[in-house]
Amino acid sequence: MNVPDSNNSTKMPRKASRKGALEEASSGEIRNANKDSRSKVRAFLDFVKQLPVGSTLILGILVFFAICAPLLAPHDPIRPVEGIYTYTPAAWKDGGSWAQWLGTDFLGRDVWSRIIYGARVSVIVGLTGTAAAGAIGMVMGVVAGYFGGWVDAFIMRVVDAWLAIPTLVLAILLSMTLGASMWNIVLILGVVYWTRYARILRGEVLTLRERDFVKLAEVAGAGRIRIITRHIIPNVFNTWMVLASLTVGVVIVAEASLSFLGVGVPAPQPAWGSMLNDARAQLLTGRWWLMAAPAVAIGLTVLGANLFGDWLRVKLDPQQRNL
Amino acid sequence: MSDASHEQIAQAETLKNAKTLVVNDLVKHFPAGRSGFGVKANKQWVKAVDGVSFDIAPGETLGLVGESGCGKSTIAKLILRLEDPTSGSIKFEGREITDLKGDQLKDYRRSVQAVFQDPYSSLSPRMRVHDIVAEGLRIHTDYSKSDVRTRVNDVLALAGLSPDVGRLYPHEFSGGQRQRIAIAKALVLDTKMLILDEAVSALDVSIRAQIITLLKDLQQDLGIAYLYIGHDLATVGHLSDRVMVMYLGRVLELDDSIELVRNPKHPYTEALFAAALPSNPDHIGDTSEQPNAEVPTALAPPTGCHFHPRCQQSMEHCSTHFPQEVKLTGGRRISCHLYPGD
Amino acid sequence: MTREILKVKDLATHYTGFGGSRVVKAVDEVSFSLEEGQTIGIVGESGCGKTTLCLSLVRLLAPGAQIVGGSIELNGRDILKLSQKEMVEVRGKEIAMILQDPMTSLNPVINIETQVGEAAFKHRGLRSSTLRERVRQLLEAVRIPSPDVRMQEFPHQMSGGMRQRIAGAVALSGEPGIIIADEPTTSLDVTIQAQYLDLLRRLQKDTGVGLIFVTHDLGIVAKMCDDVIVMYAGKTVEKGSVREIFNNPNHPYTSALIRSVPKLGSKDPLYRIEGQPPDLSNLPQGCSFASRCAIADDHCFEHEPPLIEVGPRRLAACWKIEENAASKEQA
Repeated sequence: MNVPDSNNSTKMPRKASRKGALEEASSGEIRNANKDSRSKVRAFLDFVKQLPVGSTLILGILVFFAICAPLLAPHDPIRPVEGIYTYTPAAWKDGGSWAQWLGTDFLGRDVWSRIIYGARVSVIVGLTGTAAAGAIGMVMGVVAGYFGGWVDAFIMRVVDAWLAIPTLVLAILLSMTLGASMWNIVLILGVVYWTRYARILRGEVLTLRERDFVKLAEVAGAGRIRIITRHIIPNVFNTWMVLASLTVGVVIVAEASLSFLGVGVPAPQPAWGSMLNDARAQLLTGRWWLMAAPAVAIGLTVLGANLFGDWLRVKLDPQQRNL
Repeated sequence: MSDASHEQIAQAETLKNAKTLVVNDLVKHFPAGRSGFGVKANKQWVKAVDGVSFDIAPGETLGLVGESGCGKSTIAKLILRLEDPTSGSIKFEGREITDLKGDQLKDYRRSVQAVFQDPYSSLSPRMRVHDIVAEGLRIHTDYSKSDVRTRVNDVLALAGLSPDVGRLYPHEFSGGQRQRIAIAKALVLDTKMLILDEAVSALDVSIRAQIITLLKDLQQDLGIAYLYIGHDLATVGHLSDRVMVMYLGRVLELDDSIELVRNPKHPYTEALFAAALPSNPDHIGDTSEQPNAEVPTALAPPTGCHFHPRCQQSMEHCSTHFPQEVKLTGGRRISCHLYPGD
Repeated sequence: MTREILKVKDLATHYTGFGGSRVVKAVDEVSFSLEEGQTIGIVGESGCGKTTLCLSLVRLLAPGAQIVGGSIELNGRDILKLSQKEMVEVRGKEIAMILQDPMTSLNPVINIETQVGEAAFKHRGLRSSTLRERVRQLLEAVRIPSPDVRMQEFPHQMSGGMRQRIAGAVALSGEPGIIIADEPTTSLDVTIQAQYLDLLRRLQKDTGVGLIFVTHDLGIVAKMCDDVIVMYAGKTVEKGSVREIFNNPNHPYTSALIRSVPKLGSKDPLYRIEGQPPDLSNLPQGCSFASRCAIADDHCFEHEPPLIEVGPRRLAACWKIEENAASKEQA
């Protein structure tokens, strides 16, 4: 017989495998043992190889910008470039200079440096805002789903009420009351976007709660805390990751919107949203790049985040439930 | 001989005769329809378990057989304290367990474990086998790491698995092997009773025989009491010392398993036997006497004897009075107007 | 002599995955034939290829699976040579299916009348009142009480047993010559199962339909079938009439299977087949049952036994048929 794949490690000495249930059972069980013995480096390379090229590249560059901003930015993002006090054109325009290839803004600050530093705000707010929303949503969803009854009914009505308020309006209101600062924005976005997690995770927990292993944990004497931390949360973590990856883009756009409206990250800290706002009037004067640069930056980032989220969803959620 | 030793002997005697589990007049009603925020449930009740009594001795297997909706899984949940009964008592080793709370309940959970039907649902997909099996030890004992490992390997061996499997995840196993893991998990503490809710129904024929044999061997070695719940008469009869037949929340017949198979008396038990599949084409029974109605739901059970609309031998007062349970000579318990008391 | 309606010869269905680097021989050279009014049982454990076999018969295989050899002659023509378009005409009209779960095999948003009448509408050209009359007949045939009311209802208004009976009516609707039933009673209660099996037998007597019963339950085979094919790891290991197979199994797997099922009223220890069924993508050399077989020797591990004739209409694939017979004498 020509067996296609014969170099597997599971083949036991034939006679031995006849001995009894014990050996036979174990021979089948270690069929995946080769996975463990494979070197960690190989595993890492395999992981990298199957990452989506485009989105990983975009997100990689973004994070690189955010981390290495002081090294990459040619100028200080909040101080005018030496000797310049107002707009200068982009490099390809008359009077432009490659030293400030995207020109300077109304205070004479280098636009390119501000874009690079702006990545910091987007990355920090995008990630921590998503995590904050995820943390609130995880707690609420798991509590609602696991405890059920009036706790569930209460939390879900709050979610309904939350969803009835336009998110941006809510965010603006909160920002105006709390005062604008980057960490307040993170908190606000967390408070605004937790509902999407809570809803879906609650549903997930409702079905998990009925799974036999959760009942068996209770039969074994496990307390609520143990059941939630050991049995429920690990099993909703994939869903949580997928939701988080799909929320990052939304949160980045929300931060940009708040900054654009002047209730986001306060000046003079560079944020793509406030750069858009600053550049608004300059469209008429022909300085379109002032607007285009932050817009492209936002667009690319959100595209990268969403593509990555889609890939992650397919990977972690094989049933494709369209979360 | 001193009084003290007499007492000790007497105590040993009572312990020997003591039942592991005594269930008395157990009732569980579930509210039907929606309940919750704002929506008042109109008071309609499903009588899932309606006055059930039985006992199980140490090392004995009681089989519980019935069709879907007869309340057999609810009984399992009540004994496991996953649900609280509406009324009635469950005594485990002489102690009432229906009102246990906190540490006492936790203590009870050391001794009673369960194996469920679906081997794919009973193991957490995100935990390694070692952690799944060790969970009971981590909850109830302060064993050192190496003690835990020794104990886990011991019970894995009892269940016919090698210690190597501990580091793997459940998805790497077939259904039969998962069921072995579930059994190992159930045995890791000083288990005195196992609730086996359709524990072999989802398995392939050849694997089923392995697990049945394993369960029987374990019982012989460890003296654990089993409550085996199933719908397949042949398997239940094979595993059990006594068999209890339930229909819509009530016990219709209970006797030694061989006796019950040789001589079923209740018309419902007879119908179940007639419906059982033959083990050989030469023994195809006469199935023309099949009860032809649908199984009624427990939400609106028929009046009187619940079985009367499907019963071939139903009489007039069957539809109005539920038959009292009587004990026939030989110890059989039966609820049927065909067998009035005395 | 009754008419032969289906002749399957050396059918092979393989799954290929991972860019062709792995081939799973789910069905490997299976042959059988079915006559009018006959019931053939295909029995085996999960993963033995029995479901793939029945999907191959109606050519509804999942992507990745492919019929790589053999022929399926249905009423005299090889349906493997038909286009998918022509197959649409075959399904429902000449060959129909009843699946395991009536909950998912009926469409929840279409009423019973439309679902039962669909094949009669499409394949038999029935319209309006004649169609309705036909649906009523079918529902009566599967013993649905008050069919006129019930045909306006939807699947969720029925019990599990009723739904499965309606699935039977759907299968009969196009008056097919063959019905494939893939574990049709596993989701039913014991008494309902018995009713359903009796119903199928009666319908078969009335209509002369050929039944192919796919199951893991030997009891169903014993009750329902005329002929049996025992499958193991994608191959036929034994074939013969049901009485012969049960009373005088030639293959050690068959006899082990029969002895491993608990019998009513008996507490004799069950026979245990040790180990697990083999991984189809990685079959061992030689006989695939050898590692679990009580009487296998070195020869069995090296050479695959051919399916040979061991009696009138009896086939078995085992090197040790004589020894097996001897060991059964002892037992």
